Amino acid sequence: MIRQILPSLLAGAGVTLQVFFITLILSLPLACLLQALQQFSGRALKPLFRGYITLMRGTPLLLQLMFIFFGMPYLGLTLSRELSIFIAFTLNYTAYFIEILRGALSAVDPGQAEAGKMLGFSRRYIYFRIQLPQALRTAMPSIGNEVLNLVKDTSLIYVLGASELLKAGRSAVNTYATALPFVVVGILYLAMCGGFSWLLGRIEKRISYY
Amino acid sequence: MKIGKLGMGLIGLALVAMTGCQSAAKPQGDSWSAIEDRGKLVVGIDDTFAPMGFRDENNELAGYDIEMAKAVSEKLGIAFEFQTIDWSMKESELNAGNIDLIWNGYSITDTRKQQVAFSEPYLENRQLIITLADSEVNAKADLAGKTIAVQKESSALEAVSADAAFTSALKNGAPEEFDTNIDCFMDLEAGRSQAIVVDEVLARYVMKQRGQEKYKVLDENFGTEQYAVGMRKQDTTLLEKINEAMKACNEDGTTAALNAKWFGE
Amino acid sequence: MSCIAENCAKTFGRTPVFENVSLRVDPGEIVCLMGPSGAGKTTLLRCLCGLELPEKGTISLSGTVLCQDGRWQSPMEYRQKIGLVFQNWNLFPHWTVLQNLIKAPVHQKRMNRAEAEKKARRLLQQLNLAEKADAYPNSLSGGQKQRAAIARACMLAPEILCFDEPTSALDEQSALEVSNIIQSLAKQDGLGILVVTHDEQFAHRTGTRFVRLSELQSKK
Repeated sequence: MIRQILPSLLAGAGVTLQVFFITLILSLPLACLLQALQQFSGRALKPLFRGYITLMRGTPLLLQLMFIFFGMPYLGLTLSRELSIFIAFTLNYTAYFIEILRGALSAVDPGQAEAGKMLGFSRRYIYFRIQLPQALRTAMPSIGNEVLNLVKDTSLIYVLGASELLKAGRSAVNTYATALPFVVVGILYLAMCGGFSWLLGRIEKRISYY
Repeated sequence: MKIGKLGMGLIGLALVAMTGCQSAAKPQGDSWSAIEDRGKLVVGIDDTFAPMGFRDENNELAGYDIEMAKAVSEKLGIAFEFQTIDWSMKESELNAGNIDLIWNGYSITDTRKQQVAFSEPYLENRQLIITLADSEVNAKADLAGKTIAVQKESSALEAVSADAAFTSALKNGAPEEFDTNIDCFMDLEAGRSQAIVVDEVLARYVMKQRGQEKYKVLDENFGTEQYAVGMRKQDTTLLEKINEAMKACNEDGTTAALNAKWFGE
Repeated sequence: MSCIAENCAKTFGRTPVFENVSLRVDPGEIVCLMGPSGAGKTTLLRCLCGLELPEKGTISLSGTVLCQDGRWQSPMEYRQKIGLVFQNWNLFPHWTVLQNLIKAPVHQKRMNRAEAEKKARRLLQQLNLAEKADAYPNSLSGGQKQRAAIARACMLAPEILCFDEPTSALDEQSALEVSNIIQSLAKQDGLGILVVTHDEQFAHRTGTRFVRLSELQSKK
C-alpha cells in the first residue's frame, strides 16, 4: 500500500517544496528592498505601502490566489497557474516579512545610523550593511515562524488544481479507500518542517556570532 | 549596487509575468476554430475522484473518465490535455477559458444546465442503499428507527432528504452526515449506522477495494442521475463533435469495455 | 581650521533648548563644555556634528558651511572634517574592531583596504588595543570600547573631534587613560577637541578651556 501511494505523495511533496523555495527566495529579499524603499521614500510612498500590507494581511491568502488566477482575467491579465501561485505567495509573504523587518529595524539602536552618518557611509550602506544585518538577527525567530507557516500554507494551491502534498493525500485516500495516506502526508509535513526548523536553528546560531 | 539588483529582479519578474500571460483571453463565441488551431483540447478533471479520475501508483492519471476521454480524443483526432482543477472551481475555470471541458463524473442538474452545455449522458449513476452482508435490512421500510450515513452536500443527501416520510422514520429524524463517502463506509463497518446511501459509481469502486463480500446492495434505491461532459454554452460545434465521438465509442464497443473494466457490469 | 558656531538657536517643538549661542574650537585646544544634564550641551554638540539642524545661526568648519539659518549647506563635506565619539560609542556590533575602523575610509574611497588596515593596526597599537583587532565590540570592556571608538573616528583624520560624556561609563583608571589620549591628540596631532561632560574633575584634568552653555549665550 505504502509503495503504491508513495510516488504520488512524493510528487506532491515536490510541488510543495517548489512553491516553498521559490516563495522564500523571492519574498525575503523583496521585503528587505521594499522596506528600504519605504524608509528612503519618506512620506510619499507610505500610504501605498500601508495599503499593500493591509490588503495582504487583511485578506486570506486563498482569496488572493483565487483573485489573481480567476479574477485578473476579467481585468485583462491572464496569468498561468504557476505564475499566479508564485505571485500570490510572494506578494503575501513579502508583506509579512516587511512587517517583521519594520519591527526589527526599529529595535536597532538609532545610534547605529548616526554613527554611520558621522563616518560618511551612504544611506544605502547604512541600511543594508549596518541596520539590516542587526535587524535580521533580531527577526530570525519571527522569520522562522513564517517559514514554517509557509510550508503549511502551500496546501492552499489545491484551489488552482495544483497537486501539492495534501491534495495528493486526499486523492490517495479516495483512490485506495483508506485513511493511511493522511498519516503518510502528516509524516512528510513533519519531516519537512522538522528539517527546516533544524536549519533555521543552525542559521540563528550562525548569525549570533557577536 | 543593491538597488540595481532589485531593479533587475523586478524587471525580470515583470517580464516573466508578461510572457506567462496566456493568449487565451476570455473566449467569446464558438471556440472550435481556435481549438483546432492550437491542436488540443484542455480537459478539466479532479484527480481526487476515484474511480473516475485519480492517480495510480506511478502518479499517472487513471480512471474511467480518463480512458473514456482518451478514446474520444482518438475518435476526434485532436489531442487532449488533462488539467487538474479544484472541483469547486470547475465552472470558473471553464468560463475563464482555462479549460474547454469538464469531464469527471459531472452529473446533470438543472442549476448546472443554466451555466454550461451538457453532452449526451454517458453513464448512469444511482444512489444505492448499502448495508453489511449479514444485515437484516432488506428494504427502505426496514430502516425505520435505524441510523443511516450519507456524504455531506452530496446528491445522495439531496435524494434522501427529498423523501420526507423516509427521513422522519429514521432515528433522530435525519441521516448522519460525513465529509467523504469513505467515512460513511467506515461508519457502516463500525456498526454505528445500519445503512449508507452513496453514489453507485463510487460505491462499486470502494466495495471492490474493501472487499465486495462484506456488503449487500439493496434492490431499492434513491433515484438516478446522469454523468455527462460539460462545456461552454457557445461551443456548439464542440458539443456536436463530442456527441458524435461518444456515439462512435458506444457503437464500436469501447464504452462497454470500459464499463466492464471499471464496474464489472 | 576652526569650528565656528555663530548665534545658533535650537528648539524642540515649542521648547527652546538654547538661543544665540556662539562657540569656537581652534586646532590644538581642548574645549570642555560643562553644565548640568538637560541643559542642552549634548544638543549643541549634535548640532555641531550635523546630527541636528539648528533653526538659526551658522555652523562652519575651515570654510565649509554645515548649515545656515535652518538650511543644510554642505553637510557631507562638513562631516568629513569632524569626528564624534558617542556617549555609548555606537560601535557596530556585527563587525570586528578592525572592520569597525577600516570600513568607512574604504567606503569613502579615501584609502584602499591595505592602506586602511595598516593605519588601523597602527592606531590600535598606539591605543593599546592591538590584540583586540579581531574581537567583536561586545566582548570589550568600557575603556576598550571607548578607545576603539576613538580609533574609529581618527581613521578619517578629522580636524575636530568631539566627545559626548566620555567618562560616564568608565572607571577612574579608564577615565585617566582617555584623558591622556585626548591630550595627546590635541598636542601631538593638532586636533581641535570639544568635550561635553558634567565630570568636573575629568574636565579640569583634561581641558585647556572651560565653558558653560549659559556663558555662550550672548545677551541681546
